[in-house]
Amino acid sequence: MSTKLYPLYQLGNPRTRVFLPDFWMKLVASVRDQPKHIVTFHVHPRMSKLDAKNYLEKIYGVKVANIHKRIIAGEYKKHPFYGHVTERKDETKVFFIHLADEQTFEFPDIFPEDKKSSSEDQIKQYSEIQKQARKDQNVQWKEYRPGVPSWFSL
Amino acid sequence: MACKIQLLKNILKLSVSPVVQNIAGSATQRSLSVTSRCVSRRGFHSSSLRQGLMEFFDNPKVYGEDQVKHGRAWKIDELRIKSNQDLHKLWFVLYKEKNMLLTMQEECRREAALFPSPERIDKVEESMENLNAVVEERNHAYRELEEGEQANVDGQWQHTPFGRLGYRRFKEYPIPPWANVTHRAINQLPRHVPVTWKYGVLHREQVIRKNAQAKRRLLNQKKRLKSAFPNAEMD
Repeated sequence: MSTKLYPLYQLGNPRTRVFLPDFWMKLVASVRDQPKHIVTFHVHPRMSKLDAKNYLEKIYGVKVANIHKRIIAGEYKKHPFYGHVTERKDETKVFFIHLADEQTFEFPDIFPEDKKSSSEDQIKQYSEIQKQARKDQNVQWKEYRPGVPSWFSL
Repeated sequence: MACKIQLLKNILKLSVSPVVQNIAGSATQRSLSVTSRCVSRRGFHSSSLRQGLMEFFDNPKVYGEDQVKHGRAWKIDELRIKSNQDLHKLWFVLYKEKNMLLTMQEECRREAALFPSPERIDKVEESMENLNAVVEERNHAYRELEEGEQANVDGQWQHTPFGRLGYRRFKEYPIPPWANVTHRAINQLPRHVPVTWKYGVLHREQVIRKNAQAKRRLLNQKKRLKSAFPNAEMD
């Protein structure tokens, strides 16, 4: 299926076929250690397990044995002083796909060390800043007090 | 006739790329003819490789580079010339490309690295939009030719139960609503009956009052400003 709406199916009618599907799937590195035949995907929120199976088998030619699903809730952001929720991020749907026929998959190394560019230092700096910023976002606003020494409070 | 033949020759010349001509020339310089051209053209075709899950990743030659070379998006005039079958194939090519780019972007975000040439995603999306537009055009044309209607009309302007005009979307029912007595008794509300006319009058009154209020508020504000700053110019 796709995100577009299709006419209601009734018995005897010709099957509704999707010619231009528009669901996306992202192959993502697994957060925890997993067996080699399981692959994680972030998928379009309206996608079902059957859709994903058909998708991989017909478009990519990968046989699928089983799928299990998980939905990660979006993060809340609270106001620094008043404490009410100001922002909520979107949920992400995660599919764990079990490959059939003893297939295995290893996530490739996309950032090889020997191929790094001359502007490596700049990128490193930038990445460190970005990581720090992400950490700071996650820390609660009350605890996050930049520039204040550690002995200042109890 | 001679003119036509010349034109054909010109077209043939244009269609062969310089690289392939060089190869043909080095192999057999004497027999530079139509046959060599035919062989060269076949070399251009390349069916997609099915690499399984590795199709979600970019070419390994590109890993760790700052920029990736790429072309422009498909224009709508180029897509209009293509047949339906070609468009269908092209859709899946673009589709896989988009999935690949999204996975690479996500991976870069996880590693806190720069995603090389992110404008590729926009280009793929633009060409997909153009392809969709072409398909829609063809659908409309076919529908108008066969049935005299436009395709994908999803609703209609109707009177609501309170006598106002509203856009109502078509719904699909297993039994048509005019044949389903219980459905009509429960769900179908009376439309535009004389009892509801007074609501229309009240609504119009409300609108007029609100407009008048806004106007009055503006005027009062101007008056206040003038009393505070008598020498200022009014815009």
